[in-house]
Amino acid sequence: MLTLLRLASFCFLTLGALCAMAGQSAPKRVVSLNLCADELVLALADKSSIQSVSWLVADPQMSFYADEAGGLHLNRGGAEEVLSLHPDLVVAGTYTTRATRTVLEDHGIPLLILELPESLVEVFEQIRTVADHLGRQERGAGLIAELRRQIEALRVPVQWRGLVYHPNGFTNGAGTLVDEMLAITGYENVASASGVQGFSQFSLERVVMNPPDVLVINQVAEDLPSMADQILAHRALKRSSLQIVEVPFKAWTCGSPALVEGLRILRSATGGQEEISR
Amino acid sequence: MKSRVLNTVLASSAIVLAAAGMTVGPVDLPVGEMVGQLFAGERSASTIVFLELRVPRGVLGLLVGASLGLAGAAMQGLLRNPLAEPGIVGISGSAAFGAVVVFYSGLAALFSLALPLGGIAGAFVGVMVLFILSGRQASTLTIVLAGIAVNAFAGAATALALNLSPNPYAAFEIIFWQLGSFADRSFEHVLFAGPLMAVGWFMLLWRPGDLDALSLGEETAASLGVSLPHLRFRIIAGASFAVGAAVAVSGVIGFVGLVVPHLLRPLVGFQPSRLLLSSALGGAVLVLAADIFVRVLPTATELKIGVVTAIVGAPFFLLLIYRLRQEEV
Repeated sequence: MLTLLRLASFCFLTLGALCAMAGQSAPKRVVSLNLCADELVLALADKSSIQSVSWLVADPQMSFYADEAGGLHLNRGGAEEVLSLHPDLVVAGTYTTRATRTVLEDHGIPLLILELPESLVEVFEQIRTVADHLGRQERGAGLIAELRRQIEALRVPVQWRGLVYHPNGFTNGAGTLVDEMLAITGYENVASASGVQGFSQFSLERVVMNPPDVLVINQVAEDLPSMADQILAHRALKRSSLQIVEVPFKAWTCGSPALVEGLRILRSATGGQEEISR
Repeated sequence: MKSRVLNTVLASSAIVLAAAGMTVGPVDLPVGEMVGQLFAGERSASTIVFLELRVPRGVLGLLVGASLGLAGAAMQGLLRNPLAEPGIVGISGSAAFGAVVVFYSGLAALFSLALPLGGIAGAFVGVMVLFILSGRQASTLTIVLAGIAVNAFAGAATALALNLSPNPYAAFEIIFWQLGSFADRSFEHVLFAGPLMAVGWFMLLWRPGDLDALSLGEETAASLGVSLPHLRFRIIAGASFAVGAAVAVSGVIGFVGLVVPHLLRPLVGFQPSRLLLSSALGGAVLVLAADIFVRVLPTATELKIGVVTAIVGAPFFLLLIYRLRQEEV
């Protein structure tokens, strides 16, 4: 019996999509362990087949899917808790601890690990994979078509120089999903243009020396101070005449349909439809 | 060596290092062009980088280094013990706890003086605990053990406060508070912490002769007209102001108050009074040099300055313990 389950889990891990297409019945007790996985599961699955999602997705500050998560069991991602839910599919992120994954694999629970998508193509691929595992291929294809349409409607030629600036001076350089989001909404990314690859530090001095037109920052809660956020209030930044655009965390963190909202915010800052500034 | 010669050498080294530090950073500034713009009062990207990032960093290095060196020398004079360093005995650690509580509770955002005042309050509690634990005739062992206890408690309390903060970044910032940094500080930090550090210096440098008298023993000092309770309070409060305000803006930078007085003591004829000013200048030299070092190292993320001072300082600490042990035998 155990061998059979191991075989099944191997099947899901390696040839997931093929197995799903091979006529296996759609999972009925899906558990998702990570915010971005939650969003895809909530966007694609039939709600009655979802057993549990992570507690983060139920927070309206963290996700646009908080309403959809209403009434569902919320988990904190521990192996013990997941096992007690008797899932027939667990969807998790690459950052789910190795230890948790091993426990689930040892119990023969089918596991789908989602990588962090680094481009829109990867986002669409991921939606397709999750839809296949859920037995909702049609819903997946429909969602992808709808997203493509919405994204194309927001595309404009490059007209501004933009820079994403996170606490502690981190930025999204070339080869990130955010870099592509900037390109679509009309920004030349200053970080990628200066050779920054991936998510990396970009010193305040370099921002001042090569100032962008628009500084894109994560919307911060003013009442939660940290040294990391102080960099954004530094006088050197205030001296440069930058337009600041705040994007809420939930609109650009996941490769889910929520990123369309992030694109709209980026676009409205350059498109001049509505002024978004600090 | 004459004090004046020594202090002139140290002061000029500090100024040279502060100036040299302002030429080091992630971007190369066109120095010639920038100096012209500075004199013409023009504003450009280079002058902003220089005036808003490099200059405050250099000034803070100078002020914090002087505070740590001076507080170390004064504490050692008062306790008549060469191991009494603000970091080792836990004053810096408790100052960091005070600053962390004020900063992450949002109080510092309401009025900026709250941050150094929190550091000073924490430092003061730390020194008082040290004095109560170690008593008047404290042995080296008692002071070091009391320091371990105060440091452990302050470190745990700091970690707890950071983990309780709802900001997701807060928990990762313990490394700043434990190892210190001058990265991306601004003139606001100089303005609200500088004057309070200066208050501390004033208290520590007032009537330095009292410490010389004390080195002859408490009775002798009293018979020479030194009021011991006054002296004790002055040094405790002075060290709290200098170290508390410094830690609130730079985090804990350890071992400066140990290494600097130790190196300079033979050069001032082992006289506690002469050691004070020289240690302040020497502290500035050490901290400014360490801050240049972390900036020229080709690391992906800038090294915390306390890493450098600990790598230099910890072997000194071991050497001092070894020497003291030999004396006690």
